[in-house]
Amino acid sequence: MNLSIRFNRRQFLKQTGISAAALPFLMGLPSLGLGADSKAKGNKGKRKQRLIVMFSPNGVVPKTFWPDQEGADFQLKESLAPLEPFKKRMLSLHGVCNKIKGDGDGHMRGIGCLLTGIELFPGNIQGGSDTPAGWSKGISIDQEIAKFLQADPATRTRFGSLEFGVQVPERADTWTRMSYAGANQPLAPISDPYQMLNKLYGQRKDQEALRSILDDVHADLKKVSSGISAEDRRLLEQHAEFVRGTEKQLAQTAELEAKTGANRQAPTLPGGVRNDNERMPQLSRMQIDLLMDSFQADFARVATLQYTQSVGGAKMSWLGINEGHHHLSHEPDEKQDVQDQLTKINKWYAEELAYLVKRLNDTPEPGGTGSMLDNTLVIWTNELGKGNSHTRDDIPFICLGGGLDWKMGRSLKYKKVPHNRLLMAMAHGFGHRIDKFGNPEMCKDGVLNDLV
Amino acid sequence: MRSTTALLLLTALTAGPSIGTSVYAADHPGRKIYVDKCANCHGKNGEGVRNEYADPLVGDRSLASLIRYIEKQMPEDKPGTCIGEEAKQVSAYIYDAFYSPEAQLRSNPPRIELTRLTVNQYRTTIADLIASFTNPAKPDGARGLKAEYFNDKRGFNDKKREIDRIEPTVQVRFADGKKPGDQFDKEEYAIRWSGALIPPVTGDYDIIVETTNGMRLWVNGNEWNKPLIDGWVRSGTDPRQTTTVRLLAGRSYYLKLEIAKEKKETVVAATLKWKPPHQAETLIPERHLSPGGGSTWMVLNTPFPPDDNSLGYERGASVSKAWDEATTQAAFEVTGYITARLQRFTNAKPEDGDVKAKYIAFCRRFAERAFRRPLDDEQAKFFIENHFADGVALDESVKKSLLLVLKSPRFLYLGVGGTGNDSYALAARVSYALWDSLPDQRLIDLAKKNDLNKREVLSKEVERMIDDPRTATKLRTYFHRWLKVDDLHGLHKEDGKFPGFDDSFIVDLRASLDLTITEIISDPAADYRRFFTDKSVWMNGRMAKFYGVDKPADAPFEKITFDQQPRAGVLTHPLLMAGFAYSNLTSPIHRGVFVSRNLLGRRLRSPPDSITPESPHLSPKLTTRERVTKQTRPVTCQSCHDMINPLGFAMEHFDTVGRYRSDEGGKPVDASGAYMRADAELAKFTTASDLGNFLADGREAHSAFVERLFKDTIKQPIMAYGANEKERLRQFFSDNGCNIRKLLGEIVVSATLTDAVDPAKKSPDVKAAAK
Repeated sequence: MNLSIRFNRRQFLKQTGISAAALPFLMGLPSLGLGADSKAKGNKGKRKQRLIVMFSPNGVVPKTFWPDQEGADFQLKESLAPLEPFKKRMLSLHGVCNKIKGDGDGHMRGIGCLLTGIELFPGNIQGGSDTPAGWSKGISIDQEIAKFLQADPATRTRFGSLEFGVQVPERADTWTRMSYAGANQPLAPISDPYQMLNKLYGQRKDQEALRSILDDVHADLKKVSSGISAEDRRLLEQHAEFVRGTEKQLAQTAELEAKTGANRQAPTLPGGVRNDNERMPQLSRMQIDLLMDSFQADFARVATLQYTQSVGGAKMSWLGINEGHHHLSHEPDEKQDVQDQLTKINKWYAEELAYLVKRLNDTPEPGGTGSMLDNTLVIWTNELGKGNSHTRDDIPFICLGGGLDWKMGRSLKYKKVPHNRLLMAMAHGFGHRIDKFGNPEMCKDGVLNDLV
Repeated sequence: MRSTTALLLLTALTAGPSIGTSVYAADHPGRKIYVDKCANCHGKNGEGVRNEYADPLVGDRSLASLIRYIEKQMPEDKPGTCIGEEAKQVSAYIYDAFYSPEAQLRSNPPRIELTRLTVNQYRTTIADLIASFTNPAKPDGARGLKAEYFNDKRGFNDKKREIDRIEPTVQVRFADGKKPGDQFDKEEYAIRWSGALIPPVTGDYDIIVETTNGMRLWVNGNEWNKPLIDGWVRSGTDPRQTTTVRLLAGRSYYLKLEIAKEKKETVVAATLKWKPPHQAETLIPERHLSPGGGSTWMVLNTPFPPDDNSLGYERGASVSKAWDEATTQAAFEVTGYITARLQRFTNAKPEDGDVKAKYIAFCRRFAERAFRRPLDDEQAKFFIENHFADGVALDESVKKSLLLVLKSPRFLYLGVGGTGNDSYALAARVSYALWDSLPDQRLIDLAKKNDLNKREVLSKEVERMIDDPRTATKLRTYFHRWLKVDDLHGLHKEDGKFPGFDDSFIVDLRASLDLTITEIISDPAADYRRFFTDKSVWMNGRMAKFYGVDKPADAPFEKITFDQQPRAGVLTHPLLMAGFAYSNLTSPIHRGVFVSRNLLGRRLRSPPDSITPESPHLSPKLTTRERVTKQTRPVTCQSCHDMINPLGFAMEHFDTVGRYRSDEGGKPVDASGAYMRADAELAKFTTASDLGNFLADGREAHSAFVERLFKDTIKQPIMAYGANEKERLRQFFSDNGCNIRKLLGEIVVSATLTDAVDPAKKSPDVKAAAK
């Protein structure tokens, strides 16, 4: 239980008018779903804005990825073909570059500076022939925005942000971490859907379990009381009184939850899906479904969805590809068969993205109008522009949805602008008007132009 | 009504000294005097009178001492008018009617109360309950850590191990081309320390690793768990990595530290430090490390409200809403811990097809261990089988069963379920008395055989259990309380006046006191008298230097004898001398109060007014002794200070930092003092050594020690076990060479058997009589 949850709960209680006496118990006990919070307030006048950053590794094949055209009239190529149904909700940003220099190899800086826009600390992680490095020196933009939303009771949610992973290895190093709560504070994404489900709903299940045994606790107290002296029995009677108090409070809580709609059913996951490479497609859908559920419940308004890691070596056997992704990404442009495989891999990621976007599009905005996609911005990105050159120029930033008031349905081409300007624009889209983010040198030209 | 039950109780409980039998007679000659001269201020039955003398007239002076006091000080407005035969008669009446401990017992008969687990007992019980399924390693008696050096690239391949040895602490540094050995690669190699961490007290420890290399540290969690500190990615230049971990005293926790040199690094260095609760940061000393025997223990993080400590020992005689909620939260913490490791706890593998049966079997074992007794069929249904209904997910069933067990009074209280005094109840009594925890399997087996109510069987078990580290931990905690060590947090001396007396020096002083305690109690003779007669002090190089003993600065702790000084064991130990003192002066009053209360078991009231000690600047020519005497001269002070001061003066040879002094400001120290014994004889002493001998051999000190140890161990009032139990134990103690271990054994055996049903002969049932 972290502090923000507690604060939330207090807020919730204040707004829903639970008696002060119930407070300690609810504080000790895990958690109402605090989507209720914003619902109680009705989210007056302001829509719920959300952000999802999706990551896949090892760059793209530029010629099968980027639209040739600029402006509203553009054609999607093979890699992005699955996004065709959402072309009007899409914004392709070409020419945005991660220009952060310093310690660490290309993949390390590729992921470590991607959302932070600042250098890595010197350290002992040695990649390639570059100097060794440690963690990033600053907070990442997803966390910066989550912090901003959590600071305002009107936009505060139970978790603030959720970090989903798909097949991120159980290893903490510069290549596996994208989100940072601050300098030297990498956040580990949760790759196990069952663990995520438990994080989202485990505490509610605890409450139900407790509720179900309280009658037995009473019966038990009564039974043992009969065997002891009258003086001692007083202590147990007092004890029983407290148990009754708990019962009452649980009932009150349940009532409140029902009233505020916080009593969501926990989603069910298919059982026994092992967390391994072969099951990546299924794991991906499970994570996307949980992400959707957590947003519907308003558990968080910011999420990241990280596929593998920078340098990720997923073997996509389900596409008929039996080499690891990273290995393939190093092959020269001339090898057409490999370029085809890389295109296939990115197209697979685009399909996952399309699934997420479709679900957002098909789900009406809870308590609002339109679809969830109308209020969500999804950005798909990568640690490199292109695998075999390790360039951090032309990093893919494919944006979808109406979360920020950006003009969608366009293909934009910039002239090698630092990506810090895009990171700032994301914050501005949430009303968080920062004038620098990450390395200030990169922010001199202000928020990225032409987005709104 | 009160007097009939009281008298009944007395006849049941006392076989010892006769207690005035006719004191109730209205015609007691002292009664009339009392009514005439005392009742106005003290109330008709000594209950006190508001705005006059509000405190009830109860105390622990002997009758002789009470007579003397009344002759000298009473009545307050006309002292000296109640003397001779009159004083004797009124004192006798007061003493017997309500003042004496026996009279107090009569008016407020103590009984063995139903108690719940104390917070500490709850924590240790959970740790041991979980451990009963995970089989912790046997603690290793060796000290230090296993150190292995690998000629490997950020790896720990056994085949590349070049050095394997025991190192006392973690403190290495290789720089300027220096390597652990010639055979090591100069670019990349790795070092691993492993073994166990054995913390001396329960609480939150800061663990600090200082290194500029990549490092990983595990404490209380093996390599299958996440490292406690993961600095394998070194980032930035801060060489300190810190975290906090909660540990229970005396257990051996798995510890492993790995560091690795990366190509471009020029220095390989690591230091492993800690900051124990309320203490300064130090290198983790060798005596708290062991090269083997470490395990993973479940240490609860749920906060509990503190226990009632008003009687001088923690006891679970009351419940509160906060406590009830804490037990709920803790139950979730425990079930969460187990359900996350269900396969390990239950041994159930999905492919075997008997998962449900194994889960049920596990839940039953869990309940039986938690309740300290077997379940009958009805209970098995109630606590376990009912929750495994069809259609409920199996791990939910486990969770509900465990929750119900952990919320049950059978787990939370001692002595409920069963008949309260059957064999299983005895097993739990003895284990909670010595370990503050569950009975082990051996005790349960003996209970099953219905053998524990045999004194000889029980005594043998108690002897075995006293050797367990958990008893040592309990005793250490007891001695810390006895010597008020835990009250000395925040000890500080005037800045600049005592160079060297800083926070890390205080850690040394505490270590020195702990070594003294350990030395005495781990000796088979466990002679209480050594606490007051030993003329030596454990000192390391730093302490030696401060106290003027010639030793190398880095000398380890050893015993230094001070033949020429009036030393008296712990009574003059530098930590206590510095602790019971002001920041620049000694405090005979603090020292005297400590001796009166803690060592002689005397009751003291709070001072009538809160008084600031007089500043020495006001009377620079006076010694501390003279100043204290002057300030406590008023009659209201003297009722207590006539006892406190002369006891405290005995330690005046030891200054505010515990250094010996023969004079104070040019005047020779006068350390003479006296104490009025229960038999009204005045014990006189000229130095602390004399006082030490008096405490070592004195009946009153023994009696006080016995009662304290009893309360701390059994967590019930000693009087509830018979009015003469204290005296019987005192006699036992003195007949057995003041052996603390034997006394502890006798306390536990006797209290455990107090109402045990002996199948051979039905003995009088004290508990029943008390009702």
